[in-house]
Amino acid sequence: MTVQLALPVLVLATCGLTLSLLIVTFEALFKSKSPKDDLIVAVNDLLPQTQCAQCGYPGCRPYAEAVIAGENFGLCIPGGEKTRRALASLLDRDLGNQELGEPTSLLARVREAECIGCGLCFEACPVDAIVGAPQFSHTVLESHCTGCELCVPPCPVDCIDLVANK
Amino acid sequence: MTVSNQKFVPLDWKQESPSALLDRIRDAEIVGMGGAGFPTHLKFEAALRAEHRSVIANGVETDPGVSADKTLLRQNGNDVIEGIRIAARVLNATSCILAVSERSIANQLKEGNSSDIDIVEVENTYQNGEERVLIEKLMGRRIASDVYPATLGIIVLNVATLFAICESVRDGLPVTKRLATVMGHDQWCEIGTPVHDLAPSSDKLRVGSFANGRPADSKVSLQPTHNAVSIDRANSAMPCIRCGWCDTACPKHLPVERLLNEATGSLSAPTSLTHLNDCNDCGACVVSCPSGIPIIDYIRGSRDRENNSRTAERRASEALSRFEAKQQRISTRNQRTLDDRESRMQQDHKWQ
Amino acid sequence: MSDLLLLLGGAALVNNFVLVQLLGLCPFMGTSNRIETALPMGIATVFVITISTLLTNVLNTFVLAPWDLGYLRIILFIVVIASVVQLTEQYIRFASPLLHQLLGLYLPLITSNCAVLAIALTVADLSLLSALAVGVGGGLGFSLVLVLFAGLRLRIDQNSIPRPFRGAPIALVTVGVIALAFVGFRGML
Repeated sequence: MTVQLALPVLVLATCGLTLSLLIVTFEALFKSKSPKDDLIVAVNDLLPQTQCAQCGYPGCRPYAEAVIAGENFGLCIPGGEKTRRALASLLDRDLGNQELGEPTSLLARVREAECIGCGLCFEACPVDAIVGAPQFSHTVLESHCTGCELCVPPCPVDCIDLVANK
Repeated sequence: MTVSNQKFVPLDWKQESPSALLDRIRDAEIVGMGGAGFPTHLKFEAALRAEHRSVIANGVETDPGVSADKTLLRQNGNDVIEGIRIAARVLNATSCILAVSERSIANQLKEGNSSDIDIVEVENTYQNGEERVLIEKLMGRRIASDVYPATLGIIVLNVATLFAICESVRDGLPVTKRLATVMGHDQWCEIGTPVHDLAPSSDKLRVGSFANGRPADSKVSLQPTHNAVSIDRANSAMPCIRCGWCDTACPKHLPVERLLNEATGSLSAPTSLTHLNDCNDCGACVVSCPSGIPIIDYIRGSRDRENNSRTAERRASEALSRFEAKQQRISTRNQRTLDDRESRMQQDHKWQ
Repeated sequence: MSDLLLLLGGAALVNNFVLVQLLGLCPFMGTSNRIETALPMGIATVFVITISTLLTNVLNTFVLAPWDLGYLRIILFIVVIASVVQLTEQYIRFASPLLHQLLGLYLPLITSNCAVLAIALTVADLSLLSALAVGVGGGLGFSLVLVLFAGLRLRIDQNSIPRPFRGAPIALVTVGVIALAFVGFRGML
């Protein structure tokens, strides 16, 4: 009786052990690479790239990484409702009902006569949409401006306006 | 689009120089009244740069239910012909053709008019009033869709525009009214009249024909480019039955049924922007639809949405590459500062 | 050789595991709504079926049959299939986290795909090559139907389906109709 029982138990135990060893080896071999590249790129591509930090993260890619790790995906204000839905769809998460409004697209505009050429806005602009040499007046390249508003606080003479982008 | 109200001095155009006539057309701010509203003087200036110049007067008017141009030709045909002659004088044109789509109009105008203008009858099929199609039918020349016929010396002007040219040059009158088909009747309308005042008993209106017109709310007023005010039948549309007649009717062989259902359905399949951009809003699909669906509205909506979202995507990816370039520049700069400091610390110093 | 091809074609079309034998419908319904999920799911399933058929057939020939342990088949085969799926999932998570995210729950669900277990059990007593032929054929047939349905469901979504039928109901009705079509392969081989 025990002999009859021993064989199947042995077979099952051996198979189980071998397969477990195989799985553990694979786990060590194929350590998931970080940063999880193509998922981060896919999420980042859904974001509007204004790098405005309104979500609380210092750029769009850090927010993408945070969202993958579980952060609330409804924080992107320039992206608006469209981005929130796209993120929910890609990551297969529940939409919830805190809808975001449609973002108003803004452009920064420098009142050049008042500019003192300090260059603080130039440093602040994440996409190099402001051009100007030190001590010379600066201006915004409207085709490049994403409306992130990061140039407005640093200006010591407050000469940057935000206008609606048609 | 505002139109100048300024009155001018009547000109004896047979004596005036071509450039003086062109100046009058420019000063009177005459625009194409066939629908696009292109500044007419720019068309003339483009044509003047070509070697051989021709004038084609487009009186074909195949928009369904619209008869404004035909009535203009019947009532004021001689003024239109005079407008053609003025245009020919501006360009020193070698040939003038007036294209019409009804034999009675052709016969009426041929009487008592000398042979300097060819009056040609063109079949009243849809799209024959389109610029390049008309040029191919009249002159046998096929012009690519990215080449403007004016740059080749051929200008195609709507008969209403030519009438306005005649009135402006010969009589010095500003363009303040135009003939339009309002709810099926042709009448002279003041430009700038709110469209709903022209047809007060109707709820929903379109400017243009019922097929390819645009919905007009209470803020819309009649512009020089509007040749009709029609009833808007969008609310009485029935569901799409997939008959495919719109595909057969489309003169550009676009997959209309698929574009319509991509626009109305919840499908997020990639929409074909090439097809949407090829559509030139002729409205043949609307005419053929047995359910009366305003297909043009959906296609226009899809086109705008897709173009906007492509633009947004493009701007986002450009912003991303600029952002990464800036990050790179800053890190290189910081690295260089550190390297420079390192190398300076390695040198011998007087204070050591 | 022609025997093997017959086995392959038979498993793929005539005895299609999804439409004729009505096995593996859960991952089928779950991933056939988009082509981005259908194709990778099909490929992953073919891979899992091939490896697990190989392992289970070998196990059966050298361990279970000689020692008369046929009753252990189901348990052992399930353990083998589960391990193979686990290895596949680890590899996919390493190679493309995006794909892993897209497939989501359905990747580990290949374990409970009754089509995989059915193939393993039916070919247990065949020679290794025949077993592989049936395995690969079955997997290919599964992928074919998956991709076919991804396209069909896209077109279905475009139509105005009556409200009670939207989503899964109309998809299942379509499965039934296409299954009838596949009956037409009977007698071909």
